Amino acid sequence: MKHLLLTLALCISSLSFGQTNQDWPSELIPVETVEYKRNNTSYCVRPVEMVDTIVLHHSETPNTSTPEFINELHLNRGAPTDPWYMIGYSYVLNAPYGNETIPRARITEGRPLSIVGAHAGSSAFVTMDQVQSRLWNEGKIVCGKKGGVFKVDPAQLSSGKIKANVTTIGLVVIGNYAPFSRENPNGYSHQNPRYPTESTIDMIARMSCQLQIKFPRIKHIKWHNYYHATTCPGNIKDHIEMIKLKAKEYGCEFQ
Amino acid sequence: MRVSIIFLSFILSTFSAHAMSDQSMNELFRKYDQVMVQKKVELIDQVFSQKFLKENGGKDSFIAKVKELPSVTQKSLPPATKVSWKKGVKKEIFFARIQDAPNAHKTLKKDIHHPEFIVVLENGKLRVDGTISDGE
Repeated sequence: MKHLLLTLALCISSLSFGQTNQDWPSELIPVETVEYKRNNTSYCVRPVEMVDTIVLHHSETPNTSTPEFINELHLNRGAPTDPWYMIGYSYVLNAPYGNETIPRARITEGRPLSIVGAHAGSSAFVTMDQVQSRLWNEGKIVCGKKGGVFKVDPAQLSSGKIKANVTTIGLVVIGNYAPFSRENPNGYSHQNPRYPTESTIDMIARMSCQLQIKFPRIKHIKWHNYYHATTCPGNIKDHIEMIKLKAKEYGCEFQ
Repeated sequence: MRVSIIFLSFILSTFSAHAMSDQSMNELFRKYDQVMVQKKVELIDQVFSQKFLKENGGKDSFIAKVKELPSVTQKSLPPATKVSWKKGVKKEIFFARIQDAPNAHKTLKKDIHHPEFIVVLENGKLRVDGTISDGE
């Protein structure tokens, strides 16, 4: 009987995220993987210990956009001589808006954590803590092209600060959580505002907490326009405290 | 046959080059403002891609959103829009930013966020396909 109930609970948990996962429920949330196309271009690698912050984004695109679609857009970003390597975010969250049933709620892995992301803004720099300074001084953040030599790139630093992309992870919620305007034609109608649902907030909290459990140096949750003038992540920003409270229920503490 | 193919290629490349000139990009965003600011919704098909309109619940739903926007007086209309744009690295896709005159936002809106528009070629014509928010 006990076994039957456990099996039933596992099935319900899997259904709520639309898939089964061998690691569930020891993991807080299952993460799917897809094969991404990549450009043959340079990128930077880092020890994951460099990362102390999760940065929340919305994609501004329809919420049915797939991680592969975002990757296609990002493969077209950058200069012709230095295009982006692949999708700039490390995690992609698909979820329905309130009262909708599509898309299927899921989190998909984006750019590997050991590769410096492209999401916070290339001109955003942050102060390094002691650990980050040590890792930088030890030459652990290096850039290069697959099959070539990877070396320290001084352009990652400016006035003693390091690019925010080096110390952060980008988590994007696919969709548009800002109002319709001349500047945001994909935005929501003022008559029918969109907010992240409880389920979406819970998914962000679980994912953040799961990352903190694996990488305890991750202590902060920030948002895109903390670094860069943009409307991103829309009103998801207003729910950051709720996300932190939810993460606390899973045993995590974020500043 | 061979001559026809060469001729067709020439026509297509000429057409494509024309479609992605500064002039045609500026023209697209002039019409964009006519829709989004002056509410000339009859121009919607000349501005947005069919995919964009479909993803936004269809043309009628999009028109309803445009009509919800606050009305602007002739005086508060943005000055002639200047557009900076670049082609995607690999595909026929373009990323464009509207650059308003510094005083434009005094009357239109408070923040100075300049979105980046995704522009695609649809039947050889430039069309707005959405916006993108990322770290570029």
